[in-house]
Amino acid sequence: MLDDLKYIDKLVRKKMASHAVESTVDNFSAIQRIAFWKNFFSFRLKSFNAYYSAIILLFGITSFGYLYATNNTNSIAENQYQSSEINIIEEINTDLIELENNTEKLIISKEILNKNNTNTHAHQNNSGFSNTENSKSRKADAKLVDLSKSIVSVDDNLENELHNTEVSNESEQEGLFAENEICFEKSNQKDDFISSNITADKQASSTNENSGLIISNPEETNNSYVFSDIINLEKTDLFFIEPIFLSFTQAESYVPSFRSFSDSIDYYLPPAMRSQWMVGLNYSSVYSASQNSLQNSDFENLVSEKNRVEEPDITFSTGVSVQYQGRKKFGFQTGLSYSELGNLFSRNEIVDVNNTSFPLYPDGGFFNVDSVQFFNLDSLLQGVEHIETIYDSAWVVDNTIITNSDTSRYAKVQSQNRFSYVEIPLMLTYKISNARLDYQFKLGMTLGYLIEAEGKKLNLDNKYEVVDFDFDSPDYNKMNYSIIGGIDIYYRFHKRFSFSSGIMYRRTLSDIYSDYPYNLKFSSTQINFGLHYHL
Amino acid sequence: MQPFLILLSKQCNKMTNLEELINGVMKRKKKAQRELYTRYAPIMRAICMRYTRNLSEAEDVVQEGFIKIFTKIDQYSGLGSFEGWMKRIFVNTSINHLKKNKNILFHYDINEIPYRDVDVTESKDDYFSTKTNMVDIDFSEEEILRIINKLPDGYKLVFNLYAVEELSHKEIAKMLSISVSTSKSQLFRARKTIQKQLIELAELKVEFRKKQEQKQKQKSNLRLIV
Repeated sequence: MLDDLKYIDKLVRKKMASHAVESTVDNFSAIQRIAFWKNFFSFRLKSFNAYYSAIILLFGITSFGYLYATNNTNSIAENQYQSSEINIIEEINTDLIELENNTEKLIISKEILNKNNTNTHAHQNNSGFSNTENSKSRKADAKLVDLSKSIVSVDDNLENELHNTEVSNESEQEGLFAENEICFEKSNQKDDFISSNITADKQASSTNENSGLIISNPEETNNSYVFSDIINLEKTDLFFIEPIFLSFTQAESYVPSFRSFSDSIDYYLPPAMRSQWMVGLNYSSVYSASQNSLQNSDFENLVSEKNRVEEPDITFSTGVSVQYQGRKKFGFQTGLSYSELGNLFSRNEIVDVNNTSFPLYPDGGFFNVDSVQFFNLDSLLQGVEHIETIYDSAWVVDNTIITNSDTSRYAKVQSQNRFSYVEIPLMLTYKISNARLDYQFKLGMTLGYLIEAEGKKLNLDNKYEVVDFDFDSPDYNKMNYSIIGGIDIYYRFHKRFSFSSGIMYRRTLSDIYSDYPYNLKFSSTQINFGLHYHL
Repeated sequence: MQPFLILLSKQCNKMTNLEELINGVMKRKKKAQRELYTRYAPIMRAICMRYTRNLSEAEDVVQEGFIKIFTKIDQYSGLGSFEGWMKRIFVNTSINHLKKNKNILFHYDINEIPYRDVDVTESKDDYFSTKTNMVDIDFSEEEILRIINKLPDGYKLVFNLYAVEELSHKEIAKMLSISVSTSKSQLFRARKTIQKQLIELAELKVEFRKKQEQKQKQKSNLRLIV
């Protein structure tokens, strides 16, 4: 019986398979309009909720602008001071190192000279080496050693002073700069002394065929590259020092009245009397590290080269926050912030006679003594066949190239890559309180909109070439989503004010790039500071 | 060979066009949305009409369904056909529409059905109840649709899901929150009811054909006489 009726299924299915019903009414406009607004108001990962962000933007835009302007001015002043201090130390170190090298060269040249003297004692007069010149050079040698010691001791003391001194006023700064000037003058005098002696030795050794080194003064070249020798290439620079640290450690000396002020006010209110709303200004120092993961196996070499040249960097984040604290321990935090994620791009390169640059690695693969370069073949990316295009003249001993070429060919391409976002953090909070301190555990996410991208990266088509970011290209995902969590400790020093500090960990969930053969994401650890007002 | 190649190339073009269309809708492009609506609205309307009572109700469901498509197209994973994915959305939307607007009644006794033209005389049953006879008569799509729409909600739902969407009784039971045995019994009753309707319709068609033939004969006889 049942089987007899199955033909009905077949009949209906056959008829309904291609059945279509036209309509005279076209509802597409209404459908499209409703779908548009649904997408606009939807709160999903794949669509940005502009509606809620616009509300928060209206609320926070003026205070954010004021905060940004004030914060920027202060950090510039601090940075200028810090960078000048660092420059002084660097220059001293450079001079010291050059001095040591020159001393070494002098010693080596002395040895060579001595050998020549021993071997050609019988032809002293004809070779041009006289007893007078030898004794002259010995005296110069002794003087040089004494002077080097005195310079080292002076410079050491100065360095210690610079490191240990906490400069908090202008007069002390001026004193230090004056001392530095004296030191530089002395160093310059030493250079002149050394150069005059070296010139004498150069003349003496120029006829000696056994000298394996060509000695000359390091010449100052006006080139666009930062460093010109291996020692400075190995040096790492600190590009940013958190100015807030200084101001924080010196807070007490600057504002001694804070303590007495807080003691006199009954800052501790029972939870029922505390305001549930709080607004705050925040600043975070962010340690940002990039993570590249491969999407297309054809670009494996590019990604590994990228991992080699990119290093973590320190960025920052600042903004306003709005918190709501429930009567129980849970609460909610949102706000508006400006954040920078990024990394440090750093690669050694060499430029050939055609002005084409090639990356150099590993960094320890070559070194130079003045204008003589000792170069390991393996450190050249393309191998031996490019030797002729890179060097004017070179000869190879075992696996090492020795050449005499212009030091301006070496360059360090360095860039602080930055992705700037305007963000809305959305976090759940859980608070544990005691007498003075509140410990808030936070977990949530941030939704960000990319407003700027600056920096350098490897060319997708040619990993040897470094290109600038092109923010106008469609390569960048404008929206970014990150998960963030951590702990903040609030210290309530007034019934309306509290200060917070804490640590947060953040990880981007969405890819920075769109339709790229590799994914770029960031993970960062940040230290937060905030000042909050309880409504 | 050539017609085959032309057909194959048309299919390939169609697939590429569909991919572009889907990408365009994902990017919220109005043109792509319009193209999708124009292409699939008649088919989806027909599906919705099998579940609803009339065209205006079906239009509401179509509207709801396309809004869902346009807002949730990113959930299409690419596995399976796109049309099949859309059909499932429209079927679910239709069922939700029914649940929202009225309680779906699952009739257990055929006498409970507020349904006209149930009686069929024995003579007609004897003449038209065989499979062969039913298959010989050509029923149009509109006639089939009308018959299905006349079914009670419970019968109609289960029959559509089983016979047309080819779901199993287990899946239907889960979807409609009924038992498997209820699903089976509703299907059986739906088939019986449809069969009765088909018989009646077939009878009407045969009578109409006979009358037409008689008229033709009379006309031809008159001509001869003249």
